[in-house]
Amino acid sequence: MEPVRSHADQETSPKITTEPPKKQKKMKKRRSWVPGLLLLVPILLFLFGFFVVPMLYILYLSFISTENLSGADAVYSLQNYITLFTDSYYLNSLWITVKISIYSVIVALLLGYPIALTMAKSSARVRAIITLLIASPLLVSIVVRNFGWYLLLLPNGTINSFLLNIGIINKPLNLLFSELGVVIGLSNAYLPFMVLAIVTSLYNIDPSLEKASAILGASPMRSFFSITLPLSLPGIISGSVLVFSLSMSAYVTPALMGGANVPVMPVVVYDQINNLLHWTFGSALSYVLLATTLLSVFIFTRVFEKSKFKEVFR
Amino acid sequence: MKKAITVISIMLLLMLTACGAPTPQKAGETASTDKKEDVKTLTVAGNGGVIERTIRDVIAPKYKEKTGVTINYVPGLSGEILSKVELQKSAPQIDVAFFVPTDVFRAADKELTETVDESNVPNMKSVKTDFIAVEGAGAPVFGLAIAPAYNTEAFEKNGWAIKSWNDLVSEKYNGRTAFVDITNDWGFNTLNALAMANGGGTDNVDPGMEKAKELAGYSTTFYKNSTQVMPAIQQGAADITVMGSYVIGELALSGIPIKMAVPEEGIPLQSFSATLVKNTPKEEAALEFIDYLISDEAQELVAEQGFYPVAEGLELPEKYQESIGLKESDATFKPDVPKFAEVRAEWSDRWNKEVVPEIGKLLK
Repeated sequence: MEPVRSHADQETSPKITTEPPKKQKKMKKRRSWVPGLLLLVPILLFLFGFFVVPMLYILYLSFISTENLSGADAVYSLQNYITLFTDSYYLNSLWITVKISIYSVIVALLLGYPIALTMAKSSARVRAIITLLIASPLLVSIVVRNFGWYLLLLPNGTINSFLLNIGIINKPLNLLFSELGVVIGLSNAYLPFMVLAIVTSLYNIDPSLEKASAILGASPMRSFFSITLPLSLPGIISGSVLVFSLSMSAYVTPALMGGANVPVMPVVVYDQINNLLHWTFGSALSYVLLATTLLSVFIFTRVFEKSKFKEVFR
Repeated sequence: MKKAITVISIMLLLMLTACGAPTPQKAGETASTDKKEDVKTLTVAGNGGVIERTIRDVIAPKYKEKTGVTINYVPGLSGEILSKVELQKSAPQIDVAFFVPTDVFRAADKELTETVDESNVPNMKSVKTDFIAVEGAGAPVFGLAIAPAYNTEAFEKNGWAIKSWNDLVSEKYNGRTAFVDITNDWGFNTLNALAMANGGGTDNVDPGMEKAKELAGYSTTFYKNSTQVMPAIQQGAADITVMGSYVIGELALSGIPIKMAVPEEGIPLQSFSATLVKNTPKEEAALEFIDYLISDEAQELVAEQGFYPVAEGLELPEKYQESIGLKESDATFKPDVPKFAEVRAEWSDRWNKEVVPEIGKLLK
């Protein structure tokens, strides 16, 4: 006599057939997302341990007020936030940070878009070379790059000496230790992010659209403004968000290129935490900076998503 | 779904539990690590640059030869090290921390360091007292003065001289200055000295603030990072600055026409001091290392790098005498470090709001 086989599928198969079809569908659905979730577990744990927990701790610190270095008189209060919003120095610092970040986005966009357009229209070989050139500054440490800029932009540096020698200017331009210097540094540092974001959306534009517009009599300029530019908006938005967020949190470039003249928020936070040991006030400043960045990005993306070009974001 | 959430929750909980601060070892509690003969390595944190080079490349190899103990050096700014020590106070990773004077006081005030004095570091007996930041809080190792420095060629050509701290403030330099911001010790001491030169002092900074506004007016910036001052001097972008004497000595030795000036009001003497981090399981070995650092043998090595030797009877090597040598007649003083720590936040705040906005306003 043949032994009864206890194989799982044989045992369960009759059951499955008796399940109502709705439940079957649900189980199938569950099976499909479980592996996906498991794949996400490492990054979720990583983010939780190294991002969420420290950020929560900083948030907690920001609600502690203390005057004493040893923290002996620490009490829970909103004093840090009250000081921040009532002291014009910190509000001005926040404004300078936002202003410089917006300028950096504009400069990076104006410089980056033509490069991205050239890349999108080039052969694969040329595209690879340009990509390498665009990404190459990222291979050099930001500190080293900033020192390079510093030597170039000094009053008796290369750029000023050149302009003085050819007689364009009479006295050295104030390129360093000004908002201009910081914008030059930041837009240079984050240009690759802008270019790579725009070029990705340019690749996705169907080339037949431009051909169609040409057949219908549109000039290249008209085609660009009616087809290419609107369809590349998602890339422009993501590039701008990246450059804006990175500029808002940049420390090295503003510190080295702006000196004390450009007190952006990250520099003020650093001074509060590392030089004055005002951890709790520095934490509150960090959170206000973070909230400003998130709010700006939210408003910026919403404005475009609700604009007349909202179709391209679907 | 529920199962997955349960699994993730358990993992997160386990991770959170693991995040809990480990119970600190009390000094002398652990038999295995506290014993001198078991200590093979010491972790020392201090400034980068010349201090790091001196310890890592000059002192550490000698010390290993003598005792078999390897020195691991963690470079960083004094304030950053203080933050690290504070964060790790329940389970310190650093055994010996180097601080600038104000941070020696702040570390002691926050009870992050243990006593270091003649009772546990015998060589403290022969240390010049002017270099001690806070009595009992650490051993001075790298002696220095914070002083004005000038381009000798430019000064000779123009017939300029620095007789007072007030001579730093002048339109004749035409913006060719390189002063650091108040967040740095060089900047802080400049403000204190300007206060002293104008009838004030650490107790009354108002005259200093007024003079500093003028200084800002004739400056293109105040550098946020002191490492930028060196290239500014090297590139010839600045003729006058205020910096640590060891940097002036190093620049002069490398061929830059620079010399330290000693104004009549005096220059503050101080040191980078070695402190014993509280709760380190290697207390005994750390104290022995600190004792070695201020021994004549180590101090001779330290002086070779351009620092004023803190041990009595030792002199700065001849090669540095021309640029940073101190004569008997030169006025020096010991800054009031606890007072510095007390007023630091207030001065910084006033500096940012009153002095920084004046930058460049008097430049033509």
